[in-house]
Amino acid sequence: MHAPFFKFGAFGDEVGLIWAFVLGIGFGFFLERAGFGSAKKLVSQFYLDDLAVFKVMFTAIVTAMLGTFFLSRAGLLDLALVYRTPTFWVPQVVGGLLLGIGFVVGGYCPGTSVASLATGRLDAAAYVSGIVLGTAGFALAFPALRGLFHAGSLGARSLPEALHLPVGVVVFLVVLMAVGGFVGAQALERRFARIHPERS
Amino acid sequence: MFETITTRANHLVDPHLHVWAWQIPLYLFLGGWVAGLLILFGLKLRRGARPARDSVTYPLPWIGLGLLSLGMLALFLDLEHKLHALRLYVSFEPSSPMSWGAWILLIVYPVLVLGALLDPPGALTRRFPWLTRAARSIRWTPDRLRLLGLVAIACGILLGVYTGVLLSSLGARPFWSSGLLAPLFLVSGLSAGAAFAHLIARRSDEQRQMVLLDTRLLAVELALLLLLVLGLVGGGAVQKEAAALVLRGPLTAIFWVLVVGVGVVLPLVVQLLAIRGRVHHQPVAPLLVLGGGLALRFVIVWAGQASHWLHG
Repeated sequence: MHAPFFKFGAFGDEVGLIWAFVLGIGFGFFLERAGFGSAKKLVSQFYLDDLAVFKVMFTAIVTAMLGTFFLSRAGLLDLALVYRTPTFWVPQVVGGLLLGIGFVVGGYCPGTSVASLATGRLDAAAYVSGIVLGTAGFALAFPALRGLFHAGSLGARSLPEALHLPVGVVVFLVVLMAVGGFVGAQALERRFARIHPERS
Repeated sequence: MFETITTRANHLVDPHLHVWAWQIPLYLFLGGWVAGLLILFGLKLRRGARPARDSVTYPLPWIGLGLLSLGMLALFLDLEHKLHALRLYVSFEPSSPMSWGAWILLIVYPVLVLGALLDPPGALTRRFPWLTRAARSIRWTPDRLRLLGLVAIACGILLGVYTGVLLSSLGARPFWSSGLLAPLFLVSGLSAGAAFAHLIARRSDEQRQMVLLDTRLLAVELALLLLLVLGLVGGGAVQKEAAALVLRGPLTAIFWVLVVGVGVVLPLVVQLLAIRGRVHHQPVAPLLVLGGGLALRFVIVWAGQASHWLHG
């Protein structure tokens, strides 16, 4: 059997939604078990004294990247059929900044807010309400934002294509970047834990 | 004089039945929920004492009256000829589930009213003093309370089973043509009742009791749901086509995600964790059970209407 399973017709849209549910529940469960249902834990990365979120998320990215890379090399996954979100760099930079501000102010990102809401936290309920209202506001304001939405189109591009490097080299560089990031994060945590001992 | 002859070539019937919208699934859900509340209330009365005011059982008849009235309103809104409903009460047809249902509902109301009058809350008796007189007009001995409890349990079972029989008796729709619908709707209704009691319980002993009960009911409901699908898959060509509606057809995601996943499996896991002390009791699990119960009625009603005997 070859992946992506959906593209090769192993299942249709309806069964795809069931897989989305199972994966979503699994993702939420492990987020919560990792302590990411707590806004205090999440915002600690902005105070640089607990970079668990950075380390966990980067580990997930590297794991997924190595998994897809080796599965592709083994002939089990056709990377050309894996969906890639098209790049619109202007709205993605604006949206990324807005999300970052929302993350610092509210203490959650969209995924962790839902995981936290499932545990009954009221701050997460307020945050998720904000997401719903923001989404509705964006939909209503879309005619005015249409220009921004389509600005900076670069198509569906990958890092190897953008950097003109072989896939294997990019994978190696990202792994190196991750290792460097983890070492740097450990050093930052030690330093800022001394500066803010009351937070640890 | 004009005479109209209706045959199967009716656009409301063939090839898909589409006469029931949101009102009927809502009514079936509320009816099942009230059946669960009645059975829980009846079980409490078997000791021959009125429920204490801090007990979760105390408000159940009042809540049951409200929910059943909402369900009846939904049923009423569904009727094309509203006054024709009265005709159900001029005769009793033993072979008609609808006739059974009409008479069961007529018995359930007085049982709920009697339960509500056992000990009306002060806030109501101050505003409506006749409630006190009505409550005192019946001398509630332990034997009478036990009898009321037995009648409440019997009415609850009849009401819960009837909501399933109503659909399964319509053999022209392969998805409904299963004897499992009656126990499934009864267990789902009981589970909704236990989940609701868990949600409103203030005493920790009752909270634990309701979580334990609901967890067992959810396990039975899960088994019944899987048996229902397996029964259809193991049937003839038309039953297989009916099963395909929830296995790869347009109702697949809503059935497995909302009914099975969100409505049964997730609350089952959360409540098992709560029973073992791994997580605190949360309102999330009972709310999911109630949402899943509603989704179950919608999916079953939609799937039944979409399924048909015209193979291919």
